[in-house]
Amino acid sequence: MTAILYTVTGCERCRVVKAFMDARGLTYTDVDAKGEGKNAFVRFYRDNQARILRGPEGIQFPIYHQGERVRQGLGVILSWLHVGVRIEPFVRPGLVGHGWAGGFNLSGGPQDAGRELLPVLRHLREHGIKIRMETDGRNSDLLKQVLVEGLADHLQFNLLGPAEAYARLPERPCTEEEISASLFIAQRAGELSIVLIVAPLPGGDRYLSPEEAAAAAAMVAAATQNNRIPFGICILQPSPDSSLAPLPATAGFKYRTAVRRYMLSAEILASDTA
Amino acid sequence: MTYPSVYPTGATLYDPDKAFNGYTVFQAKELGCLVVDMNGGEVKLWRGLHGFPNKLLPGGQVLGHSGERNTRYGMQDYRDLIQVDWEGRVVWKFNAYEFIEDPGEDPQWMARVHHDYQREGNPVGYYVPGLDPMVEGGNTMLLGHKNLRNPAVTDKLLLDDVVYEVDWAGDVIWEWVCSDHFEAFEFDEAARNILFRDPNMRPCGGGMGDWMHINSMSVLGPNRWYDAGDIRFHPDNIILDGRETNIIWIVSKATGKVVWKVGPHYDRTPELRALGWIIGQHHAHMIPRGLPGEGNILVFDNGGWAGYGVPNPGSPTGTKNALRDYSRVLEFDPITLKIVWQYTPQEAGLVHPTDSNRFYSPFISSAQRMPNGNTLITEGGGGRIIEVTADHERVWEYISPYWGKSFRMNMIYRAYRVPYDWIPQAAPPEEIPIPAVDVTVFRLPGAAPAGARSETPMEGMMPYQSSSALCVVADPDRIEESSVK
Repeated sequence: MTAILYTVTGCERCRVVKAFMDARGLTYTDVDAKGEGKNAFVRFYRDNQARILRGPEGIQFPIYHQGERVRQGLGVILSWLHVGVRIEPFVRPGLVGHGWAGGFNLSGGPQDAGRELLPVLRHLREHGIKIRMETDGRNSDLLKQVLVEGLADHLQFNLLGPAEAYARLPERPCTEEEISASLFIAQRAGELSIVLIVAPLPGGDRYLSPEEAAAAAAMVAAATQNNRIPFGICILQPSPDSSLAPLPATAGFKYRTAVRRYMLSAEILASDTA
Repeated sequence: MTYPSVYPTGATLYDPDKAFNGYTVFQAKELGCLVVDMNGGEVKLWRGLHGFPNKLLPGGQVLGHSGERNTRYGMQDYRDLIQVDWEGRVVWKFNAYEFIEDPGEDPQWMARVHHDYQREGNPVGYYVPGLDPMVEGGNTMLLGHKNLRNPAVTDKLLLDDVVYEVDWAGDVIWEWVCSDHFEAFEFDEAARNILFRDPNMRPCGGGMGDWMHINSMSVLGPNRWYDAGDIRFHPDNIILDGRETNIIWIVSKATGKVVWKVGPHYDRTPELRALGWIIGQHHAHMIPRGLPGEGNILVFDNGGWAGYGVPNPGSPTGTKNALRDYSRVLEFDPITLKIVWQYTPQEAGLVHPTDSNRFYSPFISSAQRMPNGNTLITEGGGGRIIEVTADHERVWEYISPYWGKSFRMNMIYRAYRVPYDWIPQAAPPEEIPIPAVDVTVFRLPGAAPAGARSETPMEGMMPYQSSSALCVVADPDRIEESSVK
């Protein structure tokens, strides 16, 4: 089945995807969603409305449609075109501003698989697209390679807790050495922000504690030798089926006080649901 | 503000039978925290202890600050809040709100506290029978600063106001950030326009907009409104006022939402118009339970210059566009907005408006309700503290003799009166009446006595008009006019 690419005139992201497909000889039908293909796009939109992301700037183009799958977002589309589903764990849909690509998570799966992301990132870089990257510290070698090549303009380091929390991860646990190495190299990113995730711990019987948050912050300060890195605290409330009670709205202050002993600029971010 | 060049300082008037006798504490300009008795005797000086303001605690302890941030980088950021005992020992301290690294200064934690704070147990920081602040333990609410950007307000860096609560151990356990609630203040389009362009920019730190300038923060405490079911007045809720915006408002402690307010525009309803345009106000608080007027809002409505809105000849850009050259102390009902009691130039015995500026402080100042119904008023700009009865009789007056060397004013930010037994270290002083001086005959050494050495009664002259018939209309003229109708 021929792929359809819904694009709009003057769309930088559309140009990047078409260049990627053209370079690889991938065939597709280009539908100008605001021009001659407007009616076709309206039909497509009506049939797939629930699957199409809309941001403050409206629908984000291009949209890749083949068979039953609708893909949207530079990272998602290019990763799919590059190796199919193999690097899906490293990319998630997400809306970012013009000139940016996001949704990449270097810790999303095994490191070797993650290396297949590099050609996608290089293509974005060659076309002047800025890249928002995330990591939780796992896959430090991959992170290092990305940063050495200058493939992350903004890096968000999602800190899952102190070293003990990483050792207890049910999937791909890792050592303090690896996390510290990632924190150290992370400073090579164009911009770096650290986000401490305060969430129910594996097992679901309790949250990361303020003391553990402080230990995590201490690990960051020790690894980076920089206690002024922008540091956010994001409280993830338990999912509706969890038996754990939500943290009260004021709980974040205890975490912030604890973290600020080591990371001086810590602030509370809006809470979310795990 | 019409000061003679020579006038007495210290206590200048005192009626022991009508005053609420006790000690008065205030920050003497560039000197320290000073406690005076009713005759102006200086009972205690904590020399060098800053106070923005100072507040006494039962047992002869005091709250204040160890110093202020370099004003090149911050504005009115006090480093800490400290509790000091009679001997000057720091028994409690909080500073761990923000780590500050200013060029050429020692990096340090700072509370960035300014204008107000409240210790648990007492909602307003002054004497209320049965509502003593905790001396050992308890949480403390602080009014502080935080620099941030909020494009809904302006594209410039803001010097925003925050309220935060710390426990006895020094952990911050609650915080409220003012600009997060910008929409709740209901500025009109003209106000938003000038706020965006000039959010009261101050030069420190490369420029920052002190857009709200909160100067008072207190807790409502138990009150009749909440008892009657009005949850806006939950005892834990916090009342604040913004000098630059002319707004007084109450924040829900539980939700952070603005649940009650007056201002910024006082021309929207008949009730607001009757209340009059509050300008640059200070120390707006709810009179606590147990004091006469409990449940009403007491505020020193400075006048001066404040607000954002439509430009006018006194405000070509629309910033500080409300102007008035006299002050008012208002006590009003927060439901009906009716003025229950007031002390304005008229009650002060001054002819309005021609002599009104003799009761005027365009900045700082405060008002404290006392158990006998008297009100202690700090008319701060001139360093004057007066105590007036419910009938507006002035029964105590004190003028600070302490002028700053760096800032040549004897200004008093805010004074508080406490009972004698709050300071057990000092024996209750003798109370010596100070009768009002008849200034028409009072003379300094060398000055000639009153009375003409030669007097000639004139024949055929008309008596003086009872109306003033000045170049401007004054109260006596209005009285004349109304009697004609």
